[in-house]
Amino acid sequence: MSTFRKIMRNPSAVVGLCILLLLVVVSIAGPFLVESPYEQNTAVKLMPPSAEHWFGTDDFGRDVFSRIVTGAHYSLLAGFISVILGLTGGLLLGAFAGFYGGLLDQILMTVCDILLAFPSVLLAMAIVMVMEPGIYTPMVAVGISSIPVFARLVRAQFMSLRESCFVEAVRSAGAGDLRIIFRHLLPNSIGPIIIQATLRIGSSILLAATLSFLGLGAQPPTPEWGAMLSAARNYVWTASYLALIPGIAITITVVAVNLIGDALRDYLDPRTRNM
Amino acid sequence: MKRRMCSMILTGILVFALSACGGDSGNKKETDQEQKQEEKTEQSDDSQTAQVADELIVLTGSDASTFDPHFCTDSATEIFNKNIFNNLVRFNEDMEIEPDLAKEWSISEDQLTWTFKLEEGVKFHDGTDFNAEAVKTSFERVLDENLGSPRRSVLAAITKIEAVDEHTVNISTDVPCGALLQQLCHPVAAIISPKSLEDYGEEISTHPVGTGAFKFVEWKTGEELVLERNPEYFKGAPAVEKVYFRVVPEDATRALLLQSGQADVALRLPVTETDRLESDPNVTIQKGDTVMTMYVALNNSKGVLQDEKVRQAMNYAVDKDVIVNDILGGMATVSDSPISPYTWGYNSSMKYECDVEKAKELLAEAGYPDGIELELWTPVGRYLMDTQVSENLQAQWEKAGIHVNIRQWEFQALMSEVKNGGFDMVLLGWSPSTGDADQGLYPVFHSSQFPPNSNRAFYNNPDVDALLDSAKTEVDENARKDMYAEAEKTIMEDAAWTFLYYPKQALSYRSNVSGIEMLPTEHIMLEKVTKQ
Repeated sequence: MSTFRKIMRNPSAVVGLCILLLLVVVSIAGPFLVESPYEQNTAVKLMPPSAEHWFGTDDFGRDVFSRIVTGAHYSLLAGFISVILGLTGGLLLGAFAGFYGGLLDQILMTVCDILLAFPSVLLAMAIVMVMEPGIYTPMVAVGISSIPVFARLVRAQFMSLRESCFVEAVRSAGAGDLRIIFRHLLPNSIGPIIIQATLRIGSSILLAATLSFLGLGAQPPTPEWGAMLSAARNYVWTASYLALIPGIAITITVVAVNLIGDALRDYLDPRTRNM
Repeated sequence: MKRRMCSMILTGILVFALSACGGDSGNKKETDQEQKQEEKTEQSDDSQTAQVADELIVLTGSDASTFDPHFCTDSATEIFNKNIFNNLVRFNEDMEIEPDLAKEWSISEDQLTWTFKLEEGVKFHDGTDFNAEAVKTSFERVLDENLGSPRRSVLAAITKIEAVDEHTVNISTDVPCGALLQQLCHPVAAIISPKSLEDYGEEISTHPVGTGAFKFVEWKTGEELVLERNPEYFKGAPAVEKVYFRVVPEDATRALLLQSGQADVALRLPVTETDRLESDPNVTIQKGDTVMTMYVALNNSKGVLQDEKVRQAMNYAVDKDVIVNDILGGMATVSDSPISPYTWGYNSSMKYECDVEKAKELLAEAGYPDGIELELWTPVGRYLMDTQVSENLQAQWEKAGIHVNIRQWEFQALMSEVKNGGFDMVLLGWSPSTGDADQGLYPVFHSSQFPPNSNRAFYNNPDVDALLDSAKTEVDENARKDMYAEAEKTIMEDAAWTFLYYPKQALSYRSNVSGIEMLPTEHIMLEKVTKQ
């Protein structure tokens, strides 16, 4: 039975995957189908959800449904771009540190330890501060802040594998360091890395939304969900749906990604593989 | 999965416990307060003295920049300084001039020398005497060009300060100065203790010593400013022991803290909050006009904005009524002059009625038929609904083909960056604290006042320069008014700014508080405050 079908036997994975697929479709096709998310019409401001405005209108009379749909791709991108960034960086650093060990390993890991000592929000904020605020800034910042997490993981995998018989075998067959690292060690340690990457997507989406909430990411009028949540604060009492809707959207996305990540882990982890 | 669940629940519990702790300490404080209050009441029954409340908590949206009034440039900080320092004269709530440290004054026949009789027996917070020498020292400090006070221009008409005797001071000008008394009301004309200037030197900005109703105790940057009552205040000691100015940037949080009784006064609440608070019997909302004008400074020295037609298009493209009614809930009036009607010398010169087609035509004439792209810098929480106004402006300009990107800034960071001049546009307010057209126009439009001074639009028109220069020295009120009217008209036609609106102010406080003076200059005076 193929891997995919095995994973698909896990109901939570199916739910997660369905939601994620729906989100991807919405974020690609949605913006072409809804009315402008920037069009202000203060005559209809702060209208509660209705047939005309499914999610109501915000304080400028903009259609919240259009804004949620248009904003979907920012959150998805934030998750994927930051993880790809973090993964690439972490993979390189961790691979060399774990393979060569010694002084290089010590230096790299000390730096990672220092970075890991900061809460990730704080680290990401510090990175944002040295860049210009903008829609891609949180993605890069979150990506950089997750490099040490991946580096540590990859290093641990490589250290446990580098003395294995198969490594000795390819080495005696004349393979160079780079070939061993990328053709032999990496494929053999990819399982935990994939799990970590998938689970990290969820927290990255959340972290990127947090940065936008704090005004460090998306600048108005970008319909980024975190920024929408932030702008809704003044209306928590008078128009609570303004804060609830982007909040729910973020939650659903993060849950969907995490469900997939959990199922993937259950499948790839040898201890739970037969469950 | 399970472990993560556990940690999530644990975090939840932790957060809950922490917030509960916060609540506890708050309650405890309150009961402590009640006890003290009771003790106080007993005491006052014995001694028959007025009751002094323990503390007054005032919530402000932005922090102080400097406690050196001679170097302060933002009206948010002026509120603090105004309660620590006194001037020779002051405005009342109707913008009329009242005695402050000067009991009475007269002007010589040639209109060049003003004689001020000073209050006697007044002491600075450090115990030294207030006298004519102190006035001389303070004013000469502001006028010292080497020291470079950013508000030097306010007092620049003064050429000589002479201490005639201990309690008489003569202030002379080379040419008659019609607005001298108004200028002496400005926060920059505050009298600082000469001893403190010597003692603290460079550190005077965090060691203010004045004669005011409240003494400086401590300042925790970004957190709170603590003032204590000056028992020897010459107009009578205030009825509050300590005043805490707490920095709470979040509008909704300030409103909630006020509503729950954890604060006594909240400054600068937006209309969304005041509308909600109005139904609460424990909260009083006081509304009033201001001398302030809100505008977008268009960088006249940069890129496409150098073109007058583009700047006019920026004005025509905006429907100010939408901002005033729908964003600000009516808490403002649309600008028809660079200065507000509460400023002397105001003249309703012209309005840029919203006309998107005309804006497009002007852009096309200027050579940009396909529109332009600009960046707008906006402070967050400094002015009522500032980011919302920027966001609405952005949408309105878009319709005329002016594509604007918004960048949000914390106010103090914004002000220090604006000095470098690298911006296209920035949303700002100008509050002429002398209530006079000279202060309303000269610092923001005269070409000698480029940043670090306040001409942040880099506006440069020799005709306006000449008018502002001669109006400064004109004594005849009508002639002076005419000059200002012409200057205002030219500035409007040149479209130096995008002219927006004159905001009204709202002060919200617990109903057991009274006696707060709210001036159109946006200063909040606490010397007569009482708290039951």
